[in-house]
Amino acid sequence: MGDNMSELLNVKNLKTYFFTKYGTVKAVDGVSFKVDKGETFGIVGESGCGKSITALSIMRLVPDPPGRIVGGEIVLEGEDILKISDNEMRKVRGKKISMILQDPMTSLNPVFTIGIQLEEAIKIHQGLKGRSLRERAIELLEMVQISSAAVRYKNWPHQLSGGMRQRVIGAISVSSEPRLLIADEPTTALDATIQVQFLRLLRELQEKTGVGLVFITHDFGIIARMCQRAAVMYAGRIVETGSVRDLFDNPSHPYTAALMRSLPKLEEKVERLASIEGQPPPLNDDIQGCRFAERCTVAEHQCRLSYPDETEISDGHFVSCWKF
Amino acid sequence: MQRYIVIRFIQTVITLLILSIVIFTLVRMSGDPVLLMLPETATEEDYELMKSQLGLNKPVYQQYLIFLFDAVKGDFGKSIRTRKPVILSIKETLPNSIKLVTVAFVIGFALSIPLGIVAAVKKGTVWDNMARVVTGLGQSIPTFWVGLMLLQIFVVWLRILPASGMDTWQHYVMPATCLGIFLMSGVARLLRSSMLDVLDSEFVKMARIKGVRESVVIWKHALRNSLLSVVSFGGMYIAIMVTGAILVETVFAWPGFGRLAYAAIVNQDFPLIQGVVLTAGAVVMSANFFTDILYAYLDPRIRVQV
Ligand SMILES: Nc1ncnc2c1ncn2[C@@H]1O[C@H](COP(=O)(O)OP(=O)(O)OP(=O)(O)O)[C@@H](O)[C@H]1O
Ligand SMILES: [Mg+2]
Repeated sequence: MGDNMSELLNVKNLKTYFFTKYGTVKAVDGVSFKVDKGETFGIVGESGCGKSITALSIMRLVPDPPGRIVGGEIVLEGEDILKISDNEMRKVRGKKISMILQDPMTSLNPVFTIGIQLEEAIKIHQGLKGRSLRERAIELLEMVQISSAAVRYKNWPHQLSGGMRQRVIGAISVSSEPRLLIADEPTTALDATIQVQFLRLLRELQEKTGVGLVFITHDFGIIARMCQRAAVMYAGRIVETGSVRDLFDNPSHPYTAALMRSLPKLEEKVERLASIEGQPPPLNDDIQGCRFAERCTVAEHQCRLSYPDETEISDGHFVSCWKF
Repeated sequence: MQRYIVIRFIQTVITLLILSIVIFTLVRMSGDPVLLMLPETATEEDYELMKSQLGLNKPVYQQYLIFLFDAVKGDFGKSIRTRKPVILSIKETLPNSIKLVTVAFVIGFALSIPLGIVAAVKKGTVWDNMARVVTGLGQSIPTFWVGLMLLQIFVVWLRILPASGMDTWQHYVMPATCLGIFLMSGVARLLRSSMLDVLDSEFVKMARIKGVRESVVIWKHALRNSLLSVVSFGGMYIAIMVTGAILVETVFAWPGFGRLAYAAIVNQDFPLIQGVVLTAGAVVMSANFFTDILYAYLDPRIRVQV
């Protein structure tokens, strides 16, 4: 884990709850992780474990109501962005932190050309106008390898393929050279070959701009390919964090270990991670102990009583489990 | 797009043809016009004479074709009551109604767009509930009752507005408001629900991620898309307006098409009914036709083929 100079993002004990008529849904319940400058940090976990809500919390875009960030800190380049005003936060969005959403088919506004949508982002943060604005937009389209960018610039989203749309969104996201880019399952909706292309593009963009990348996925193959470090999430909490090497060679939390065993083969995509018995608990249950205890083969009495603290079992390798 | 327009045009014409057949049949089923027109003392010969004069002794399909070709030429025959050509009455009254409905549309949209937006953006708050009550009342209170209340307040009590006629702008206030309120309620509710959908969409999330100001998110990104579904109901509003106009014009003695329709029905004036209904049908159909084209124009997914 880097020193303060290289630290880009530090999420401390983040809690985001949804207050619904069925009770309080603790979608994110005490999540902590750090991302260094220029690093790619993965977050992996089953559907519904709180990955997207973690990402939206960092953007401060959790739908409110019913959701609210109820605790924790999100420190970006030394500043807790949970403390700044809404207007200041708006200036952080797109400029310092940006995000790519899962579905390229719905992430672009159907009634505006991609040029307009790209220029909008540039205009807000860089104040470019007229010709230079347009030139910058076309340059960005070229950067994400859109061929005949000057023509494409005038296209509406529906005239582009899914892969192209996701690249346009990539261009929008990096248009103001943000420090942090969150990619929330950006390739899940794409075909396999387009996926590989897009991942390569993301890596190139990262090399060019030095942006720190938080990569959310449920695909361990992508984690292995893209990330230096990663966190495994389960039912609103991070159960294990470490270098990708740590996670693959020495998975220490019983959940991570079970996931690794259930992986058919590295690099192979798995739709649902869990071939583990049982299901994650509903997030509106008030569980005192470890959330995985019900499905864990080595759980003891202690595990159901209280939640284990995070233990550093080797340099930069953290596990939340009573076994350690 | 051109292909689309041609197809929609053909559909419109076919619908109008079907409408003409329905009207032709219904009017003939609803009673013998000759009996209505003849005095009580008429003889059998008078009856037969009139029948052949009106062309009613010819085979039904011929009667229909004559009726259809006349209608296309704008000849709907003469009113049984006044002996005045139906087309003349329509020409006199229709423009007055169009003026009234236009003002009503402006009032309706000026009220419903802010109302729908506020209700959606402030969903679940007291604002939303207030909007719900207002639009609920607007939809459930009968238009003629609203009209009578307005008359009572502004004419009888305050004496600041004229009760009938259409000479000055003051004459427009009450009938246009009356019609506008009815329109407002439907549009505001529709806008609220489509706005809620759009505000929940990924592209609105994406706009916020870019750092777009919330007011711009609402007025540029969300409203433009929500209005699409409002526009798609354009033909329906015109249909609502035609029914509304019958009531409102009768209450405020507005010399319009709605009042003409009312008179035609009350008097069982069958050439007039045919003319009025066909014209109303043509108006609604063309409104439908033009809103579809407007919609296609506003939505690049239809305007620009892949
Ligand atoms: N608007 C909401 N109201 C109530 N609960 C919500 C809402 N949005 C999300 N949640 C809850 O938050 C939990 C986490 O959702 P999230 O979208 O972060 O999952 P995820 O890990 O991104 O899953 P996926 O892989 O399917 O995208 C879900 O289990 C869901 O129940
Ligand atoms: Mg998600």
